[in-house]
Amino acid sequence: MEYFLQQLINGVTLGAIYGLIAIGYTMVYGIIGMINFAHGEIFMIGAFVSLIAFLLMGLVGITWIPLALLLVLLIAMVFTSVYGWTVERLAYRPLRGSFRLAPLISAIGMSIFLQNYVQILQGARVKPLQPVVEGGFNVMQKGDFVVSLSYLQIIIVTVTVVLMASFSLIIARTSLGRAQRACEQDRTMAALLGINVDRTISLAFVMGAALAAVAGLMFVLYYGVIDFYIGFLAGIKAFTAAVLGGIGSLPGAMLGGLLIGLIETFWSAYFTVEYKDVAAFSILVLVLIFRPTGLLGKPEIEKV
Amino acid sequence: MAVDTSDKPTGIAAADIPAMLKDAAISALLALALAIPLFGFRVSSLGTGQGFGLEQRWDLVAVTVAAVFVGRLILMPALRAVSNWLRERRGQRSAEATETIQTVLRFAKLVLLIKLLVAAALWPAFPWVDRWLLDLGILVLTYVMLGWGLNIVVGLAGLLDLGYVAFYAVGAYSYALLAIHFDLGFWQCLPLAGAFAAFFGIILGFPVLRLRGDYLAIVTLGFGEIIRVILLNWYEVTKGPDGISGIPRPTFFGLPFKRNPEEGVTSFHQYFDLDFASTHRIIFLYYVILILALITNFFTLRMRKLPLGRAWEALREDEIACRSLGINPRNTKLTAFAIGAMFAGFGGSFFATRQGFISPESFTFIESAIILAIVVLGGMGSQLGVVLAAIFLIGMTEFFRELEQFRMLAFGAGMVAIMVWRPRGLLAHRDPTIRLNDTKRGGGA
Amino acid sequence: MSMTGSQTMPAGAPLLNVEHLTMRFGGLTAVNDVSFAANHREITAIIGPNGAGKTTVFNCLTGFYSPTVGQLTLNARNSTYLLERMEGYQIAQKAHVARTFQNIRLFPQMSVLENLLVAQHNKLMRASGMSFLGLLGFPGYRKAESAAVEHARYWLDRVNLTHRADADAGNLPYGEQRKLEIARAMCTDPVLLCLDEPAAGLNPTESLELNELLLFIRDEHQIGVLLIEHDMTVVMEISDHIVVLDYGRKIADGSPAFVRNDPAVIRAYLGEEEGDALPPEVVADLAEEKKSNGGGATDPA
Repeated sequence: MEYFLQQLINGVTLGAIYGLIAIGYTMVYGIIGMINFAHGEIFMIGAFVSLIAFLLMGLVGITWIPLALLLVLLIAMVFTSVYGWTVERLAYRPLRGSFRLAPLISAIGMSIFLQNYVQILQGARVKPLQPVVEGGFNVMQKGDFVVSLSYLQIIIVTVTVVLMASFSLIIARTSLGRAQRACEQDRTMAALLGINVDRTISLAFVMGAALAAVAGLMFVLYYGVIDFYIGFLAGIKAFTAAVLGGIGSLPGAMLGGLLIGLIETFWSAYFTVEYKDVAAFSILVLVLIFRPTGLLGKPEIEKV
Repeated sequence: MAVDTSDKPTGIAAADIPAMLKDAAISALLALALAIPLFGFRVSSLGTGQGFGLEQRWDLVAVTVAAVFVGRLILMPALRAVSNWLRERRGQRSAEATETIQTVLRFAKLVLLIKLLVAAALWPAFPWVDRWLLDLGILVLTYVMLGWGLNIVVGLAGLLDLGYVAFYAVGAYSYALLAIHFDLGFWQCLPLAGAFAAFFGIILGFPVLRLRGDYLAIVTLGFGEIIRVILLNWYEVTKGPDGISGIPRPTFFGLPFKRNPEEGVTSFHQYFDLDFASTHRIIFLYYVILILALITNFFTLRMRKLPLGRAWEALREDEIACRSLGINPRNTKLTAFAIGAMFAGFGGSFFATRQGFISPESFTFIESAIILAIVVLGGMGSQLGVVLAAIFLIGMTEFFRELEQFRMLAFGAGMVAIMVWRPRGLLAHRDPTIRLNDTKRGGGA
Repeated sequence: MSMTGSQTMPAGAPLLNVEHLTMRFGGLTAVNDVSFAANHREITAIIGPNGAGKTTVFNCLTGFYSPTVGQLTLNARNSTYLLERMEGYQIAQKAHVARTFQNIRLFPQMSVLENLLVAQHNKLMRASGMSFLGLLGFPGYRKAESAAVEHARYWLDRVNLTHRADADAGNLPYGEQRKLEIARAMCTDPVLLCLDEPAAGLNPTESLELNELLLFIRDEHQIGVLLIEHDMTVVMEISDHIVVLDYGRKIADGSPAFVRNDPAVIRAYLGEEEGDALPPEVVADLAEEKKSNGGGATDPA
């Protein structure tokens, strides 16, 4: 029971990170119907920018942790968004209406490019970060086993919930969100009604990248080490989360992220750690086969 | 509908100079924002036990931003002018002239093809071809074969398979395990390895091939990773990360390539009364892969003229139309998928016998990406394109081994650039498989 | 003719019998309890304002959607097929229902001739021994392919595209693409040809050619044609029988003359679109017929 509770806490934390990345996949898919294969790399860049920003805080002498965290969060979101915007502008926008497989191949190329770009610029070695937020509560104790909930886990889950809530609000309430939803339904019609479709699509990339940056920040804080390769697996798992929740659906991405985080954690805890990636992929395959629309997705009507 | 000014086509009239400056300045600003975090700082070790700190590289940022500014200012208009000029010229050509050019191109292609074939057949005999170049030849041919195999799946059937290397791995491990545990020779294992790989292709393909193209890509990618993780962790069978060593080498119809064969066995050099040379085996391997590759090519060319091959291409063009014509999309895709997997299986067993050692490290996603890049770069569906792309990409790799990271960087950038520039690849021109108004070429199979 | 279907098909059973076809997407009912029949050797037109559910009927017939309710029976070549129970490709393969699409769906990178050969896929597949015999170069396949090419040539001659046979289908002008799509559908050797707005985007000359082609198909090849069309000149001139849909329901069914004067039809059209979408005589009729009748009228003839 105690062990279970501890895994639950860990799983929810991991799920929050996956959920944040998954939103980027789901938004882009919803609006232009493509899998932004390079989104995992955007997350990785977000993690690197966060790490650099943390080290920079130390250099500048900002030691009050809440302020440092906030500043790092802002820096990571802003600079990673620029990457998200640029990727869309260079690799995807010229391909709109092109050969069916072209954007996907372009995205794979972009993903390989970004991975090696970071590897060249920052080196291939694993980069550690000193623990920034330490300590936590002991939720319960039984014998030697302590169920702990760290402050960091609280921060991760809280920030995720706040961001997701405000994000849903943006999509549901603002004109920007309305434009997004309009473009999802019918891009041509939206353009005729005076919506700047290019800008709306760019914004989807920017928002997705900003959330991926937050996920990157959490990842650095939580695991304490990053390298240029983390985007690949995290990206695929987040994509699985998006598909599981129903691609194109924002609540679905959050739910999917949570489920994938839980499944992975419990799988590692109760079965084998080695095969935890297999578990995520197997779920992806099973979901696509038995419920391609995911848990919360709308059935796709084939346009003939 | 452009958001920013940089998107508007600009001529090189003098009046545009302020606009061009502004355009370049915007690009430079963007470059600055991109460069500050990752160019400007580098997380580096402060020495053992001292933790990590930031190294600042503002000179690099300045150079990058300046390069982007100048590049945008000078290079882009120049490129645009060239492409406009090319487009105009193309526009001026009459239909007949285009037809003539096509004929000339077709002829040039044929000449190139014959040259390549002759060069490939005589490669080991050229005086300057040493052991290294011979190995390089084998490597390039392996990728040519894999490229041709994947071309069936991606180029013809339009199924984006990102886990192609999984079938390659299945082939390699099938051969290694069969050879070691059942004492089977290379030639007995080859068809078995192909069959295993094809079987895996069907097992994976059957449930997922009805999915949309991009889902398929992700699922095949996931499948590739599953296979790799299993190979890494199923230690009892695959020896995990240690890999399998001591894989039997191929024999020349039963004659081993050994200096001192076991009692009662005649080796290749003894049978043909030659001095022993280690290159014999390499030359033999070279011809094995050449023949395997040519079989793949011959098969594909043949299939393209058969109804199944045409159905593959039709599926790539429009699946809905195919259904309305009574073509079973799933079975048709499945055949392409399985046949592509089969060739990967052949390639895999060749790889295993050539190396004598295999480990999961050889079967990572990046291998799939390289094979895909060969197909994409060459022109999806183009057999000649695959050859040229394989020579270019693999040759470059070997010549610039030290620049490994830059190679992959260029690789990724190249994939994007080619998609933007020519979404169907460099040699994307496709000749019909049958002609009505040209009796010389008509008549089908 | 009565539209209520019976389970046992009399000798003179219609080619296609649609009974109580209903198609819902979530909360939206695109087609609501529609029944009609299409006969052998007749051109049956389905007309109606935009969004009336015409293409949805087609998609149900050709297996792209599986209907929520309803039975779709095809009687041809001494067999009966329940289309709603068949997978999409089988409807073309086994029941021999061919179709074209509102937004032309050719294989643009393949040549015109190749497009027509793909349409004969199943026949050629058998001849090539599921590719095995073909790969080995057996003469049987070569003969079958020549026959298929001749079949394609026949239809190319019919639609005047023989000289473009080796061009890429995607490079043909719009009108020729439409004709090629019909030729391709005919190459599948259908018993029922479903055409989704074949005259859309054609100029008057091309439109006339299309009329002739459709009449030729009906008279010489003796198959049934089901036609969705907005162009009333085409519909009124060549149809033997017209079914009118509005908001997913059938509002009229009968000969062109009957449908043209049906007040419900006129109301549906004028309520939805400008008057000039109708032939002038219909507009004139409308001016006289101000009195209204109940909907869903059926021509007793």
